[in-house]
Amino acid sequence: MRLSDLRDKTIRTLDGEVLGRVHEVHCDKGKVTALDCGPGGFIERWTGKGQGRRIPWKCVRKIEANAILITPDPPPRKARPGASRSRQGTRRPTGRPSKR
Amino acid sequence: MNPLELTLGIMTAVGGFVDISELVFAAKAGSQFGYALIWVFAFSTIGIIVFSEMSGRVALAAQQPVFNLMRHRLGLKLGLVTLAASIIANLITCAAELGGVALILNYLTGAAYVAMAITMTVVFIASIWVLPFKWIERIYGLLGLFMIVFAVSLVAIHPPWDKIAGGLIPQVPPGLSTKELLTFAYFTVAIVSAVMFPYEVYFYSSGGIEEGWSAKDLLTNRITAIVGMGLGSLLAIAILANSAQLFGHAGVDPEIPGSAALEAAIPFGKWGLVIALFGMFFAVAGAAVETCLANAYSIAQFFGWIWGRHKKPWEAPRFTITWIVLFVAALAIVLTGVDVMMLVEFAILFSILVLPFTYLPLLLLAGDKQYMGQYANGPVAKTLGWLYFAVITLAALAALPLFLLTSGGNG
Amino acid sequence: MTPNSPIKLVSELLDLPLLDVDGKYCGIVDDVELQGGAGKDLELKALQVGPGAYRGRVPSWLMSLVKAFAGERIVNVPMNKVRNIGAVVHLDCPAAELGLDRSEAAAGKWLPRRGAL
Repeated sequence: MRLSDLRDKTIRTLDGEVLGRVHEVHCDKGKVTALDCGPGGFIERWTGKGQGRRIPWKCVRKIEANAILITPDPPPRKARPGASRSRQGTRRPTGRPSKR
Repeated sequence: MNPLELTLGIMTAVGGFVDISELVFAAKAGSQFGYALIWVFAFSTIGIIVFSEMSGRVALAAQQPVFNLMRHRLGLKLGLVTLAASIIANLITCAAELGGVALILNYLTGAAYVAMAITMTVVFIASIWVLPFKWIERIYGLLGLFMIVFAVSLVAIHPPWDKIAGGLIPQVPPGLSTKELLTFAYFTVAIVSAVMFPYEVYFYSSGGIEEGWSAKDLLTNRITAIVGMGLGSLLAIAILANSAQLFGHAGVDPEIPGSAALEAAIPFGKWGLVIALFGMFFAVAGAAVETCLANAYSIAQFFGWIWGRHKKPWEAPRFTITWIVLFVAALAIVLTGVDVMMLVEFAILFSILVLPFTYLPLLLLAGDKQYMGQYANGPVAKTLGWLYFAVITLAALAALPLFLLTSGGNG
Repeated sequence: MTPNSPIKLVSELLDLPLLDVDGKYCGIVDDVELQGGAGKDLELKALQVGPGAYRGRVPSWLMSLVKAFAGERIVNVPMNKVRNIGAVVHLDCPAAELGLDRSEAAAGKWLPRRGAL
């Protein structure tokens, strides 16, 4: 397997929920520990700052041709300090739904 | 900091600042709009100083030239697009410089343009093969100091200094028709592109590594960029002001590069003309060498080849073959018979389109404390860097429409 | 950092230049080979260098051009040959030991070894 086989692949839970595309692979002591997915891949590459959601490698169940299947209950996305609640999917005061 | 080395570095930067596009656009800008575009030269010079200093600082802090980090930051796909665009822009610029050199030799000697283009290609290849990097840079840069004749000419013709100073204030001349306004806008974009050509940054950063710059050369980098390019821009402004004074009033449109040389002939006669042509020859020749090497640096660094003229040519074989092939390719473009002025216009256009892709990764990297440590961008560099990035992005968006609407600045 | 340090493969390793033990540039990290799979450990095995590693990273039409001009060669650099990863990847051996100098050597045959100061 190559890094390019993981990168840009869609991450989907076994329940069918799409979480985003892989834009980073974390390693420690020579072993892959986690995948980053979701929005922000291009931004992360350009700015070096982390964005998106981190999926531990132990949650990966299967690697298909076009997707990586993970357990249905991966760790929740952590809110960034000072982040607006509306970015996590709650309704904005205007009543317009968030993009998530 | 070695004072002699610093002085030589500054003088090299001064003599190497003006190339065929600045020569052409400064003369045309002066004749068409008087002193009204001086501020654009000054503004753009600050921009190239900011980014050149940044690229030099990245080279000495991260010990990596611009195109290595370009690949890493942009990734392979977008990096290849940027590389391809940069190669095309630099190749056309190199062809314009080569054509300019051949034209100037034609003025000086009367020899045929095509023969001079072929001869100078051979001379350039031989000079880069034989000479180490420092000698290449110094010879062309220092002999380009003959261009100082334009500054002396300006003093000799007793121009209205108050109007020249007034030209430093950002302005749009009043009473312009729509067509003239668009042409003025095109000249603004063209001057920004000509002064901030991407090859300047690639060459400056790679040159820093060629010369073995390290953290102790931080001040040298800063002084060379600021003083060298600042003084160099005064030569371009002198060409513009001469043209405004001598050609503008007479309704002369300096269509060909040789017209600029008349600016020194009018006050000083034959010797003024000869010195101006010598200065133009070495300045444009230096630019031809820089654009070719900048292209070769970009390609070699993008693919991880051994590169550099601090090595013998056979110690960096793929890099050597690349710059030789690039010179031959530039010659092939010249030999198609395309007018030098048209090559200059295309060089300007392609370069401004590539500029945002060149400067954004550099700006981000120079501000990254993980790479740069204590040498990361301070508040001044950060503010100016982002300001100029916004300006060049706007210029890049406006360039093609303005080029088409004004027929390349010809109204 | 070393290969055993915490590292982000895309933003801190991919597309970095390689320098051999003599300080010579010898390619770019064009891809990373991993060993393992889902449900088990996935380990860093080697760095991949060469135009063949562009497959999967560029569109297929571009890969055809790459193959026509530069071939499809891939050199695998084992992770135990990597000494340090920073702004560049430092190797623990000369480029020749890993076959990373073949293209330079082939290009060098075209050039005379004289005339330069």
